[in-house]
Amino acid sequence: MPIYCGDLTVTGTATGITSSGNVAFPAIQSASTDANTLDDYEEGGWTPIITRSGSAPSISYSHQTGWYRKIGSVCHAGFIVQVATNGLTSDGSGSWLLGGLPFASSSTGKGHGIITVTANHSSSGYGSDDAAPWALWLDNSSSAAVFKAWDADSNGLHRGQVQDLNTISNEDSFQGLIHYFTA
Amino acid sequence: MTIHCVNITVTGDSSGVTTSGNVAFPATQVSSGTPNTLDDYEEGSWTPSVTRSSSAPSMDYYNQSGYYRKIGSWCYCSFAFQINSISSYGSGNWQIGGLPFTALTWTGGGGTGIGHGVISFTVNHPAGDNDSDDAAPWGVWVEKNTTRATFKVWNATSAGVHRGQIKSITDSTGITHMDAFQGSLQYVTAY
Repeated sequence: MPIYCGDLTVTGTATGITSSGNVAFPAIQSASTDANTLDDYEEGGWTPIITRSGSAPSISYSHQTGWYRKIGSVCHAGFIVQVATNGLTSDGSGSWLLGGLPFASSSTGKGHGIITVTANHSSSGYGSDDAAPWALWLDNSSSAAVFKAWDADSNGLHRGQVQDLNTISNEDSFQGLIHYFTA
Repeated sequence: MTIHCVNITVTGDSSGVTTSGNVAFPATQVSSGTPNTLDDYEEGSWTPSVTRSSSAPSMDYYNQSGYYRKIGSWCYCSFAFQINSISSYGSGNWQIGGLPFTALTWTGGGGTGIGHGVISFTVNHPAGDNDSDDAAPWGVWVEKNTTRATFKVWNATSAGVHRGQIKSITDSTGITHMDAFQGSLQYVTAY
């Protein structure tokens, strides 16, 4: 029976190749600077929120679900957030953000991670559902991603976006996916 | 070079670290419930199709191609297909069917069409068509516990309300010969 160990070093813990043929990583990542070493795999959940860069809005949610898969230093995070009925009680100020990402982004390269985000609005909202995804991007060393909000009254200048988020309405929902390099 | 192999058990198949230094997983996934265990890598192809949530349309294709890479429970899919002819339109939300793995299920509600996974989606229409190509990608999202992804369809005659989408495919004149769809999506699989 051949045993292939290559350059593998296992320290006697529950990491390494399992009896099922899977690869178990440490529960706490042991980061490697080697470019060809895969040093982490992790899957889990997170709680997405809608916030702003200046002062936070006051929002209650009818639904918040987030899930992630971290493969090495790349994090893929999906999310679904829905504003509850009468859930927005104050608008706050500044750029709109998707907060609560499970890991902070790396400190280099502004705008790490790119993104699609799709918004659904309630059937009574202006323009109903958006067809096109919105852009969402993450700054350096951050766990909150920016998305642009524009007033639809500007009549076509801002494609893919039909509703001013200052008028978030009941049951507006946001779902999407973001990819980024972790710290 | 010192090789430490403490606690390694190799079960006699070809999985594990290969002599090339790669990592080979079992051909049939042995799913792990441990969050830090990478339990699968797989690459392959799939056959995308257009369907609807209530009753399926009937159409044939000029071409259909799809590729995927599954890392753990994360699936990356690309797709491209072109419609040849349509004999019936079916009903319900428009969807891409045939995803290679069932999406994770979960409990809870949300807005219309929410589901695991997301996505970019680009539609091209043939040159010379009334509406020409769309500039922006559409949104498409994977429905939980299915192998389908929903995309929204709106009519451009609503005067720009639905940006990034300039053509209705809800009526018999919407989809035309040689209309093509291509894009990619990613989602968490059920295992």
